[in-house]
This record gives sequence, C-alpha cells and structure tokens, in this order.
Amino acid sequence: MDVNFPVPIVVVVHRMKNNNSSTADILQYRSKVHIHEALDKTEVLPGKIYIAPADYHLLIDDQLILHMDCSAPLNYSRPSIDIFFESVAYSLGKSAAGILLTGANSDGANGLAKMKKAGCVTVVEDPETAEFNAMPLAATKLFKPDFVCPANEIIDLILSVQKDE
Amino acid sequence: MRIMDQNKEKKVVEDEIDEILQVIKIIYGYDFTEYSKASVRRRLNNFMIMNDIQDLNVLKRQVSGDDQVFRDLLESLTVTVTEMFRDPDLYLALREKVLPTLDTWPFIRIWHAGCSTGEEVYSMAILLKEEGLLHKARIYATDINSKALSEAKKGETNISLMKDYTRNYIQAGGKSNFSEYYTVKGNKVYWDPSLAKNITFSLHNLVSDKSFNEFNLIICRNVMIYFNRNLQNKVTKLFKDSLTLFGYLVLGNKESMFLSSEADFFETIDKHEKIFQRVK
Repeated sequence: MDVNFPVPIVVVVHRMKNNNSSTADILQYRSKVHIHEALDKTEVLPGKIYIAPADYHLLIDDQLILHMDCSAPLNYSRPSIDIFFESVAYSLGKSAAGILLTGANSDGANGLAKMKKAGCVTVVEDPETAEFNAMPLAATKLFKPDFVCPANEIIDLILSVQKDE
Repeated sequence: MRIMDQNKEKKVVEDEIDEILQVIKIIYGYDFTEYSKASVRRRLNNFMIMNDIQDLNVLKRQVSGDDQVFRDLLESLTVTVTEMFRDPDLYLALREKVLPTLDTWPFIRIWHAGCSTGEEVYSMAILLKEEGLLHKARIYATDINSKALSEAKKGETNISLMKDYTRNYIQAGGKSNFSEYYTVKGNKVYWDPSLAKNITFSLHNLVSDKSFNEFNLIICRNVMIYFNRNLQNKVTKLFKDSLTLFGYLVLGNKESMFLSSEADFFETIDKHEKIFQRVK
C-alpha cells in the first residue's frame, strides 16, 4: 500500500552491508506503507517511500531518477547522507526538503547545509531528545535549520504537507 | 562542492560539463557522454577539489592542453572499488544455480567486464577451483582503467584486508581454508599463481569496443551503474550478443534488467543476485 502523499520520500540510513534485508524489514514491519528498496535508475514517484541500499552511495537527478555509486565511503559511511543531500540540493533545489534524524556520527550535516543554501526546507531532530545526538548536533552547530523539533513533531510536520498541497 | 558553489546558472554548469566530455571524446577518443550525468558531475567535482582546480573552464583548458591531466582525470572517472567475494550470497547462488550448468560445456568461457583491480576475478577462480571447474575455464578480465589492470595482474592484496576477505569467503560457502589460496610476505598477500593460469587481463572499453568472443558467463557488477539508461541498453545488448544460448549474465544486486531493452532475451535465474540466462 502506498500513501496518498504528494511527493516521494527517500530514506538513507547507515546499514550494515550484506544485511540488506534487515533494516528494510524492520522498517517494513513497523510501517503500513510499502518500503521500496531503491535500485539503480529507479524513478522515485509521489506517495512511495524508498530506502537506499547498503554499501552504495545514492545520487538523484532532476528527473527524480536514482543513481548508485560505488566509490569509497565518506566519513566511514556508505551510503553517505552528505552525498545524497548534496545531490538533492544540486538537482532539485527548492523543490525538496531534507530531514536529519538521530545518528552517531556527523554524516549529513554538511549535506543538509548545502540543501538549505539551495533553498530546500531543512528539518533536524532536536538533539536534546534524539537517541543519538551527534548527527543532529553537528547540523545545528553548522547552520540554522528551518525546523528543529522532536521526532513526533517532525511527523506532524510531514503530515501537514499532505494537507497543504 | 565546487561545481555547486560556482554562482553560475545550473544550465551553464551542465553545458560546461558537456563541453569537457566533448573535449575528452574528440581529443582522446573516450566517450563519457552517455555516462550518468550525476555520477560524472560528482567525479569531476572530486577531481577538481583534489587537484585544486578552480572551475570547469580551468579544467577544460588543462584537460585539452595536458596529457597527464587527462590521464589522471580518466583514472578518477573510471576507478571502482571492489573486494574479494563481495556480496557472498552471489557466490552461493553461482555455486548452486550456475556452475552445474557451466559444467555441461566442454570449455567454460567467462568474461569479467569491468574487473577493476581483479578481486572478483580471483574470487571466481577460487570458486571454480573448489567446484572442480577451473581447469576447463578460460577467464577474460577486462577494464577501461589501465592502472587497475596492472594492479590486478600483480595478484596481490594487503594483509589488512584479509580479515574481511576471509569472512566473505566463508559466507560465500568456501569449502577450504582461505589461507590455502595465498601466501604472505610482510604486509602483502599473494594469490596462488595457479589461480591466474587461465586468466587473461586486458584493456577493453564497453562504450566503444565490440564483442570479442562468445561466453558462457558474463559478470558485470557495479559498472553499468555509472552509465545512463541508453548506454546500459547498448552494453546489455553487447553482452547478449556475446553470450552463447543459455549462457548467464550477472549484474550487481542493486541493478535491474527491468527497464532494459534486452529484457525479453533473458530469463531471471535469481532475482536477488541478478543472475539472468539468455534464452533466445
């Protein structure tokens, strides 16, 4: 089942390689919505949620097509959230939004800062309430996100888009 | 990101990238115009940052005027990262679903297209040896990147990687002690030379070069992800034309035949490990 949501959602999490199914399965188990595993050249569509595979960097172009990349990890991360956010900033600019959640390293802060510079809406989970605050803290120290709020408010924020469109 | 920091219109930047690719094509004969633009942009950007090149115009001038800059750029546009028994499940699937059929042919011709520094090729040699097929296999390993090829020919790796490689080997269904396949000298590990006896490494450009043989198995993993869809179709056709009937094509497990123009010629043997068989 896909949601009645006006834009596609792409999720990038740090995953163990050779463990492709686990993270997607865990997310899927807790979600009524179908989570699509992104493949190379997948075109992301409104109302669908995609998850980046382990051990590849993800890029997106202005046609909303995902491109995989196998180059070296960045900040020990592959997929790198920075690389994806940078790609979103360049290819999609204002028409995208970026959300940075709990995480144990600083991956994503630079990328989200670039998204802000490109005119994207930027949301960071409040470091005070995040389970691991390194990731959101790195972002809030680097620039001023449009929204900094606890996870449950982020959910409300996302749902409000559905109503406004 | 240097390319993005330039306060130029995106269209101008895209045009400048196209110009550089045209320069490379016309002067040096390498055609990157059908590579994935997102990928090319990222690699150009990284190259510029690493070599302190201010903008795309400067890069274009340097590439046009200086062989060495071009060679370095070529190197970074075509480098890929690989490891021994990467995606161990693939090797399990090969053992179970592909090798038994390969055994029915008197000779097994295998093409590793985009072999990079050779880890996948040596992994295949080990797999074939364990299944008693290495003696009748002829492996052709090709890549566009000559530096990677000379690394591959050396048949060595770093001891620091062996813990991960051993774990991969075991997960791939390895039947022996991994240490039987190599010797250690200092911090270097040397693959058993008998593994390389039936392997030929050579330069080959999937964009421009034609088919050069008929194969029973073609493996091309994490290479076509750098191509745009049009080029992916062309290269998949090249592979189909290079495969004997009922031969196998293996792609990277995040790649897809779904949108391919050649999809009808293939049957899916393993949908997770992207193993396909030519049936027409």
